[in-house]
Amino acid sequence: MRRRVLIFSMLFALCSIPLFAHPHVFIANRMTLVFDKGVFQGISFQWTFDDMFSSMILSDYDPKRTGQLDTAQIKSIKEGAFDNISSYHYFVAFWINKKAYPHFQVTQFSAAVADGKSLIYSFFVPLKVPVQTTEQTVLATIYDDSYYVAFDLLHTDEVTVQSGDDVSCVLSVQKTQVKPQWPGQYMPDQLVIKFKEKS
Amino acid sequence: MRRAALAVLLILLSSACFAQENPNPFTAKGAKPQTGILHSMTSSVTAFVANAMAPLQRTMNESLAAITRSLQGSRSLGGLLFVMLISLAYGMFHAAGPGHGKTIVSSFFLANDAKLRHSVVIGYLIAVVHALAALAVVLILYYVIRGLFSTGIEQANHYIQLITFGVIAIIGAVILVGRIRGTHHRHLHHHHDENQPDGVSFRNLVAIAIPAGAIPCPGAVAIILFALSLNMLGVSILSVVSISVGMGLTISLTGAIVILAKKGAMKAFGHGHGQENPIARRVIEIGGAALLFLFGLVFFLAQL
Repeated sequence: MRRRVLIFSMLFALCSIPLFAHPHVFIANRMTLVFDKGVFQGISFQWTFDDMFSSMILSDYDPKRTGQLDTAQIKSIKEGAFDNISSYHYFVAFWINKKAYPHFQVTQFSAAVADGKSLIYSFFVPLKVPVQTTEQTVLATIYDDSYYVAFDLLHTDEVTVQSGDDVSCVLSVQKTQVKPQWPGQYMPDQLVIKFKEKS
Repeated sequence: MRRAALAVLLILLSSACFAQENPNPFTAKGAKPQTGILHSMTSSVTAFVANAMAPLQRTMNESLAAITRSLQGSRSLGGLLFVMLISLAYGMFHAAGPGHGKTIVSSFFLANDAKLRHSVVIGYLIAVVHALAALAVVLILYYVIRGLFSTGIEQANHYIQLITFGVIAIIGAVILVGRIRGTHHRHLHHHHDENQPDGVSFRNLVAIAIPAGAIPCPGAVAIILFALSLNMLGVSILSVVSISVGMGLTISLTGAIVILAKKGAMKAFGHGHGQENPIARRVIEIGGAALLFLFGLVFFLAQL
């Protein structure tokens, strides 16, 4: 009897629950770490969008589908389909030497088309961490809280390091330290960037 | 034990009630990530499935895009069948996500004395309205307004939601007042036709299905847009019809579970011998109507 009540209650509850909040936009993310003049200048991001999202944005901003975006088109794309994600902290969370770095700038936005179909966004986030003789650590997690956007799994071999001979930089991937907003929230791994002056 | 079960039920139902399809972060002006305890609860309850389903969703998305693209030059029968098959699966899975009228169907069936066949009728009515709404909005934006899809869709959604949630709140309020005053129960209506005992009429089902389905299905919108951008209106319609069939299955199933669970719960609280508990019925029906009203009201206010 009691078990039946419980079972029926659970059935009730189950039926009106959304089973999953699915992602609608899929992004392949590539990062380039830029070292210059003894400073870790920042990270350059390159996002390649899935076919459907690319197609929607390109029908809007490149209606003739020339496959070439000019400055005016890139500006409209930025205003219509990029600037708004500042409310989503551009889907990136940084830590510099164990301190959260939430108020970062986003510069050098550009958009392009690859293979006549894939939309690509690129932008730069200045971090400006001086390279020292002691090891410095920068962490980056790429994720969307609303899970509308899904990013490809993070692999260190998809990260390019641009540096001279004077920097030793070691990359690894570990469980993110971003706290989930609810139990069970999907959290991708974080990129761990450790660097110091080469002795 | 009963109380614990009821508490669990109440928490889950109310959290489910506040689950909404998120806006597109890139194109919805002013969109922000949802926060708050209700959002966290809903997301938490659904997280384990969400995480498992994401790769599948991606695979379906990609294969649908790829096969549609490949059909651009030559339309093979096999290819068209494949589009239909994937669209069907896509519709089934997609309708299991937040939105798509499932909360409305559930609370409507809790509030009313419905039969199993009603769940199939309403499931397919909603699915058809849902897909037609997507087709209508996209075609109007494409051929009439010639505006930007990415922002146009979000704006259209805003106005449609404002209207439909208002209508749902009103329907919920009317049913709620009826249930509280108790005008619904059999003993008051025994003079009615035997075949139509205070139940749900086709007209009732249509009245609830239209606002429940009128918000264009975002999955269907994406697919129609994609096919249109490749100049394939026919394929996009074929795909949308198949998506509807899939969504109808999921929504019908949702409704059927609610109807069975309601019957079961009324008996579980009864005094044995398969007898229904009239108090349980009253509580469930008033609760269902209240849920429908609150759901409509909360989302109506959110759109203002």
